[in-house]
Amino acid sequence: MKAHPGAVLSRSRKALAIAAALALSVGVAACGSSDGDGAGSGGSSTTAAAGGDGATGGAPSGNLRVVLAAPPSGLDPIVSARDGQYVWGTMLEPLVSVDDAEQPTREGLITDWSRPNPTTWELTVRPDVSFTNGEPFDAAAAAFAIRENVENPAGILKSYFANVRSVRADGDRVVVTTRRPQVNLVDLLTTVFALPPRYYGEQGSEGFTKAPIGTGPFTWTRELPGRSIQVSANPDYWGEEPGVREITFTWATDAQQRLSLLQSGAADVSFDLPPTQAKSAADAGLDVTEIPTAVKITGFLQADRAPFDDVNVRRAAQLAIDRDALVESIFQGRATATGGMLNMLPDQQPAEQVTPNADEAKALLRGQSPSIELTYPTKYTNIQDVAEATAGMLEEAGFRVRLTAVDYGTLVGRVVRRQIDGMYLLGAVPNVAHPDFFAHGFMTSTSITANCPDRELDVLTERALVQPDAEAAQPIYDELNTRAVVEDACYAPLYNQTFNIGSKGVRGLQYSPLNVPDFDRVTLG
Amino acid sequence: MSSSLASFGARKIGAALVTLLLALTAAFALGHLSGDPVYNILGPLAQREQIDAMRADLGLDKPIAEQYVTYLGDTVRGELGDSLQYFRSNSELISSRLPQSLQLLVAAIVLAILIGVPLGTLAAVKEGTWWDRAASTVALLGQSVPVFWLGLMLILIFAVQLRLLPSGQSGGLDHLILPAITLSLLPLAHIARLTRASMAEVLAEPYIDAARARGLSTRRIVGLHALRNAALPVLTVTALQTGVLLSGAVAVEYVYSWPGLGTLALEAVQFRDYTLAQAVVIVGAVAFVVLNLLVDLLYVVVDPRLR
Repeated sequence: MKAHPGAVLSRSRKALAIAAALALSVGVAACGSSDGDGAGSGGSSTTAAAGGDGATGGAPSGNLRVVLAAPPSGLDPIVSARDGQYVWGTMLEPLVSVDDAEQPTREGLITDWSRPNPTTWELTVRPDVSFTNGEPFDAAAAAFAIRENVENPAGILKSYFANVRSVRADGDRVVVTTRRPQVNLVDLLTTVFALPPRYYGEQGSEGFTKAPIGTGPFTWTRELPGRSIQVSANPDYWGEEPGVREITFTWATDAQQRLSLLQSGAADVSFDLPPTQAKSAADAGLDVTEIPTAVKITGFLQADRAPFDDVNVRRAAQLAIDRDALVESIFQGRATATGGMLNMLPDQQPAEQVTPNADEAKALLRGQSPSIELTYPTKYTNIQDVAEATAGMLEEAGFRVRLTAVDYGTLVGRVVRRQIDGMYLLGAVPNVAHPDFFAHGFMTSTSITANCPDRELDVLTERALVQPDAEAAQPIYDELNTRAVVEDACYAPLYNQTFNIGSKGVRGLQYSPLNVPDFDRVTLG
Repeated sequence: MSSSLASFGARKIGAALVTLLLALTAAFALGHLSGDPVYNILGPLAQREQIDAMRADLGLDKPIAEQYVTYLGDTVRGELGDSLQYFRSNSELISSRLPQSLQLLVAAIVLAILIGVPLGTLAAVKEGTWWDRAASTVALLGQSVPVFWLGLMLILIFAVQLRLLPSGQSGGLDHLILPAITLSLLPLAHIARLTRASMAEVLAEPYIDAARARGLSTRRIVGLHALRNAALPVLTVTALQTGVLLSGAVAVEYVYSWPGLGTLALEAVQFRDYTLAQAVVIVGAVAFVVLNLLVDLLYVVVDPRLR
């Protein structure tokens, strides 16, 4: 394996550096281990011109060194936040795979499905697949994974499976029945991951998260707590073997550090570079990939309380906010302005949307100066700039705005407890590219936000869900979006975030708009 | 000797326990004042019953006084609870990070002593010369330069531009150099200034003049007589700086992505993992208080006038 040209040190300099390190470390050896994990400089990647599809065509080789923005909070897909999917997604597979358009395909662990009646789904399980501990992946295992999402009290997606009545294995099929018809059940299975029932049962969530086991192209190797996680190619993988032999995940909270690790040759891929660091990376000759994502930053207007209990005031707020200007001025175009709530992917547009018009906004306020609070969480990229610019636009139209920054958990808590007035900014993050994810999540009276007191939104959401197929449901979702965003003016969708990935000498890395990387086809050099 | 020493020791231990109790109370209060962690854990899509169940599971539905008493009891028994973020015991998380923090801390302190003491000594011996002014300037810079800025500059120069050293994260010994240099700067400055002051004071003592009169060389006078007498305050400040560094290396660990206790604390705060944040504070507070106590007791053993 060739050494990284950029990481090559002259012998004398290296010797000096090591000598200095030794001098520094007198008496240190007993205090900590230095069991190098290959995550630092001098790793094993090779370099070549970036680009290409990363077709494998040979035995897996090389160690891909990946820097994440934070350590994965957990590796159990039932209870853990999705940041862990960067890691567990290499080992665990969803029951239903998706294609490039994020639509379910029959090429994953579930190879077919049918709907014999409106409340029954039959799923066919791929034969001859095993977990890496030898447990078979069969209908019972698939049923177990679904049931964990339905029944586990800490299940992070439990609310989306509330309509499921029963799940059972029947030969090579899984039969799922629902209380009411549910058109998006297969879509939801794209975010249900296969788990080995015996191992998961023995280990529980805590044990599983220390050494996850799945059916995927990579298998667990080791974790150096707080430092790195390593996975290696699964030699018995049922699908196409991956292009790299190992992946080492490390993390750096500071964006500048993530860039430095890439620049110094200590990492091959660095995720989540903010616009400033992405530009620096591009200027330094590194490969920067911009991925428009489905993360939708939205202004929620609390329509059951003054002053937003007046639809004209809500509409004035919508008209006042120029989302294109936000995208251009704050993100230099590295985001996608959006006017709809239920267009799930960044390249989709709603059937109808509000066109910003400051003069019309002023006219609707008729000389009044409603006082509002604009609350935003300190969580998303450049969100403070966005909040300040939004406040400026609202004030230009005649609003008096008080800006309040809170941390994410506090904001969600206030929203859930209905302790929030005015307008708040929140990022809507879908697990699946189905409109019901946001309709149920943010539009119905039982949703977390429930900011729009229009019962017709509940009716439309339920009506869409009981349709026989996606084609029949789509017009209803269009109507729902128009009603909630354009007519009720309860939402001010702003933009879809763009995600920047820096890399060097890496080919074939794919990243879904749903914030899921795919390392399967990555090759080095 | 023994009764006055025992009384002094008892007073100091009592004060240390009160300090610890205040630190524990502050950690508890800050953890609970900063909001409800349940929404961060379950996310925005959780059902009401899930939220209620988790609050009950964490004991957050109980009166605050009851929570406080439970917390103190658990802490006394050494039970630091489980992380809300990592689904692991906090003791396990802390013990996995502590060696990294200690490694960095020892390297920084050793570096600070190896440079700070000679620098301060040189400044005292050459008092009023440009050596003295240069040493004072270095010490002043060490106290003035923000560590995060210094860290970024060192990364930029030695990792990104020259590619001599890794830009961060832990690994081999070469990973230690830049963080240790950055972390050592402040204690180095303290030690250099204090060494200079102590040494200057000692060098003005009559017995130093007597030694000179007997024809002893400056090196011998400084090395054998002056430095030994000037060392006590230096040892004190070194021990105190060790405590400060153990609990205050957050900025350095953050800049270098060093997987120590500081980074762990930062992750806990960012996620609102209040049990983990409390556990880190407890460990830091205990370490600091114990170090202070040891210094106090050691000092009085060495200098009985302080009893």
